[in-house]
Amino acid sequence: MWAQWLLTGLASGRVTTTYPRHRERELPKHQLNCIPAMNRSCNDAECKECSQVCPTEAITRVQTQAGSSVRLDVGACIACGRCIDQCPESVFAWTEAIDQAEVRRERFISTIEEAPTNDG
Amino acid sequence: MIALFWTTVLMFLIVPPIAIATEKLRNIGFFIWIYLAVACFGQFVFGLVGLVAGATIQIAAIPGIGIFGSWTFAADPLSDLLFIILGLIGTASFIYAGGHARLKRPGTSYVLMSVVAAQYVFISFLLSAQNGLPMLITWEAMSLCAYAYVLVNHRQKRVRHAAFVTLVASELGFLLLVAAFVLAATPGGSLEMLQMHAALVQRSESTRAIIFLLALFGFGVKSGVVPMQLWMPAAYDVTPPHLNAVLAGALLNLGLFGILRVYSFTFPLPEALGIAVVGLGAVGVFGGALYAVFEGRIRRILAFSSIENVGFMIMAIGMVISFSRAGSTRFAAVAMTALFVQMISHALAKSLCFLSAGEISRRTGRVKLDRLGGLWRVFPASSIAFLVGSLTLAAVAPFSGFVSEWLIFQSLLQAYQRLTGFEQAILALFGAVAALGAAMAFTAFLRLIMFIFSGQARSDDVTQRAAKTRASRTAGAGMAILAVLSALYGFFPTLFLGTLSRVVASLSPHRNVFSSIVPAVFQQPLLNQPLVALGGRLFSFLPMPGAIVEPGAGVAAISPTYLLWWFMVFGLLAFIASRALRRGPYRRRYALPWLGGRAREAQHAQYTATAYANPYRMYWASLIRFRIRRRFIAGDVTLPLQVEVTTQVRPQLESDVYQPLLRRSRKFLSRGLRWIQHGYLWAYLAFMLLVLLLFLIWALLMN
Amino acid sequence: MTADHSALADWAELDGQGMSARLARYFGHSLHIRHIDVGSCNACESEVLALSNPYYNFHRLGLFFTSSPRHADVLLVTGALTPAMLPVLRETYDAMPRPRLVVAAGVCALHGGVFANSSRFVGPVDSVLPVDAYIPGCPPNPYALLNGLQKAILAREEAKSS
Repeated sequence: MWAQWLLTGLASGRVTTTYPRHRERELPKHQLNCIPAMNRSCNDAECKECSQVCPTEAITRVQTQAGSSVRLDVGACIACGRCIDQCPESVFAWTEAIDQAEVRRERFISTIEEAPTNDG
Repeated sequence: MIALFWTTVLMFLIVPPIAIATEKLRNIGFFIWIYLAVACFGQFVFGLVGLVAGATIQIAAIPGIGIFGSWTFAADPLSDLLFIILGLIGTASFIYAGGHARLKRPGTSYVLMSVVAAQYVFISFLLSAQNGLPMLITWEAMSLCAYAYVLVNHRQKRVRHAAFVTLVASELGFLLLVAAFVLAATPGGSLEMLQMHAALVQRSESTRAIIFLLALFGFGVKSGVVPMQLWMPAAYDVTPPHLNAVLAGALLNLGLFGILRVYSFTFPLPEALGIAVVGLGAVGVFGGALYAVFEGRIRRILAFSSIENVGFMIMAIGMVISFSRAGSTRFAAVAMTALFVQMISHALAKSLCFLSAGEISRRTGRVKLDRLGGLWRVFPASSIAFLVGSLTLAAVAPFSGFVSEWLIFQSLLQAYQRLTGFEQAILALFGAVAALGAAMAFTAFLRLIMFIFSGQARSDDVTQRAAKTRASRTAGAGMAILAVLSALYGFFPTLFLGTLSRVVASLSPHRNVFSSIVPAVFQQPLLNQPLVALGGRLFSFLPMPGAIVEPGAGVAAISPTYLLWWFMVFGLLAFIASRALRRGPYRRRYALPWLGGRAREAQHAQYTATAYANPYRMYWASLIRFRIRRRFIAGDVTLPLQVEVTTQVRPQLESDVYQPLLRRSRKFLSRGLRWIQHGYLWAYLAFMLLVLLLFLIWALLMN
Repeated sequence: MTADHSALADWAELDGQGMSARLARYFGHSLHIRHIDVGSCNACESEVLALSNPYYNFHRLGLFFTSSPRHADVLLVTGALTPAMLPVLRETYDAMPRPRLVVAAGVCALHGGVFANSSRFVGPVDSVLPVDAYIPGCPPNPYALLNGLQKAILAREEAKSS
C-alpha cells in the first residue's frame, strides 16, 4: 500500500510537508482514522449502544428539552472505533480534519440533537 | 628601649613556673594567654620604636666565649622589622588563644604556654644575635619548640607522623646550617658576623656562593623553600589554630631573616646564583599554587599557599643578588622593598586565615571542603575575616598581596634594563612560570572561599553544629586585629613603605628608594600635574607623601588606595541602583534551582571542590600523581555493595624523589645493619679483636 | 481517498481568515518547547518526537525543543498525571520564565483516557496548571500538535491585544 505522501514526495522531489500553509492539500494525504465526528443525528432515543461501548465515556446520551441527544467529547476519545462499528444508524464516522486543537476545553464537546420526527 | 627588651624577655621567662604552679586554677589559662599577648605587644613596640628611630641598639655583649668570638646582641633595622612582625602576630594569636583556652581547646594547656614563652625568649635572642653561634643555638631551640607545636594532639597517629617529618626536616636543615657556618668561620676563625664578612670578602666568590646556598636550604626549611617544603602541609594540617598562626605567620619569616643575615655577610654573590635562586622561587610559586588547587582540606591549601608566597620572596632575594652584582642598586633596593612588603602582607593574611579556619573547624567540626558550604550566613564575622585573608593571599587588588606581588613582578620586568640577553630570557621564563602560579593561586583561593561560604552545606550536621556552638568574642577580637591591619596595609600601602625603606637602606643595596617609589603627589602637587588633575590629591590629609606606587619612573604605577575609592563609589552606586530598581521586571522573585524536578536534593547536587579542580587535574595530570583509591566496605569487585572512593594528589617531588630515596636508603641501611647484627658471638668477638688490632697498628704508626 | 473535503472546509471557516500570514509572522521568531511526560504510554512522545523528523520538520516554522525549562516558552504536557510526577510538574512549570504557555497534548492529559477512573490518576492537567491549548487524540498526530501550538500562540496574542 503506497502512502500518497510517499508518491507525492517522489514525484515532486520534496519530502517536507507544507502544513499549515497548504492545509487542505496536505491533510487528505493522510487517511488516518483518529478523530471521530457525528455527521447525522441519532434517531433512536432508546438505543444506548454508543455510550455503552465507549471505553472512556466520551460518548454520552443526555436529556435535553428537545429530547435525548448524543454528546461526543473528542477530548476523551481514544479512537478505538467501536462507536463507528456498533452504531446501527452510522451516526459516527472518521473525520478528515485530523489536526483538531482548541484553546478552550469545552469546544471539543459537541452535541447532536435527535432529529425531529416526521410529524414536525 | 633596652629596658623594654629585657622586660619582655623577663615577662616570658616567668611564664613557665607560673603556668605550672597555677595549672589547677580555673580560667587561669585565659589570663596567662592574654599576658603572653601583652608581652608580644611589648616586643612589637620595641621593634617599632627601634625602626622608627633608625639606629642599631646594642643589647648585650658577652665577650670571648671559647674560640668563636664574643656574643654580641644588637637590634638592627632588620631585627626590628622581625620584632614587629612576630610581636604583632603573637599578640593577635594569643588573644585568640585566650578565647580558646576558655573553651578548653587542645593546645592551650600550661605546657604550651611554657613552650610558647620559651620560644619567644629564644626568638628574641635569635633576632638580635650578631654572632653565628648563638644564632645556631637559638635557631635549634626555636625549631624544637615548633616541633612541640605540631605534636599537640599526639594521640593521633597522623599527628605523630607529621611531627616526625617536621623534626627530620628541621634537623636536616640544621645540619646544612652547621656546615654553612663552619665553612664561613674557617677563613677568619670567628663566628661574629662583621668579622666573617671581612674575611669572606677576600675569599673566592664560589666559597661565598656555597655558604649562601647551604644557608638558603638550611634556613629555608622553616620557610618552605623548595625542596625542603614538604613537611609543611602535613604539619599545618594538625597544629591547633593559634599555634598554626605563629608557625605560618611568624616563624616562616624567621627563615627569610636567617637567609638575609647570611646574605649580609656573604655578599657580593655571583649573578648566576641570583638567577638560579629566582628560578627556585618560581618553581616554589608554581608548585605551591598547583597543589593548592587540588587539596581538599582547608589548612593544607593554606600550607601550599605559604609555599607559594615564600617562592615569591625567594624570587625577590634572587633578584636582589643579581641586580646588586650587575650594579643596579636601585632595582636591587626595589626588589628588597618588595620582599619586605610581601613578608608583612603574607604574615598578616596567613595568620588571619589560620585563625579563622580554626574557628570554622571548631564550630562545624569539619575541615574538608567537600563537606562544608553555605557558611557565610552562619559565621558572618569569620567569613569576612577569612575573605580578607584569602583575597590578600590570592593577590587581588586592592589588598596587600596584590601590591607585594606586583612589586616583585615589576622588579623582575626590570631585568631587561640591566642584564644581558641570556639572563633576560631566563628571567622572563621564570617570570612566566611565576605568573602562572599566581593565577592558579587565585583559583585555589576562589575555590576555597566558594566551597566554604557559598551555596548550601554539603553535609547535614554542619549548620546544626554551628548553631549549637557559640562564637568566641576573644577569638573574634584576635581575628579582627589582624583583619583590620591586613586590610589597612593593602589599602594604604604608602603609609608603611617609608619605614620599610629604612630596613632596605640598612642592608646590602644600601639605598633608600622610598622617594622614587612613592612620588610625593601630596606635598609637591606641581611636580605631578596630570596625576593631580585626575584627582590624585584625594586622601592628601593622610600622613603619607602620595598614594601611588611607582617602582621605576615611567614604567608602571598602581594605587590600591584609589582602586579602593572607586570600588566603594561603584559599590555604592550599584547598591543604590539595586534598591531603586525593584519594580516591574526587576522585582525580586525567589525560585528553586532547576535540578530536573528534584530541588529537595539541591545540597547533594552541588558542585564539590574535588569536581571543581577536575579540569586542572586533567591538564596537569603528569605533575600531580593523581590516584583514585577504592576501598570495599561491603562486597567485592564482582558485587560491590558499599565502596569508599577517595582521591589522592601527591607532589611529584615527594613521590618521585623523596619516597624512592627513602626506600632505597632504608633498604641499604637495613641490609647493612642485618649484615652486622647477625647474632654470632664469635663474629662479634672477631670484630672487636679486629678493631683493637687496627688501633694498635695506628698507635704504632703514630710513634 | 474522497474528493469531498467538506469537513476540512468547515474547519477552515471556523479558524478564520488570514491564518497563513499570521502564522508566518508568529513563527518568524523561534519558540522553544519543553516537553514533559507525566505518566504516558509514550505514544504521544513518539508523535511529539516525529515533529522533528524531515517530513514534519517543525524547525522550519521556528519551533525547537529544549531540555531546560529555564529556556522554554511552551510546556508541552503529555500523559495521565500521576501523584509521583505532580511535584515535578509543578517545579518544571515554576522554573519557566514568563511569558509561558502550557499545551496539553493527548487524551490522557486532557481527560485521563482509559485511566480516568484509576486511583493513581490525579486529574486532567488543567486542574493543576493553566492550560493555553488542548490537543485531543490518542495519540495526536503531528499536524494536530502543530495546530495546537499555533492556536496557543494566537490565543495569547489576542489576549494581549484585547
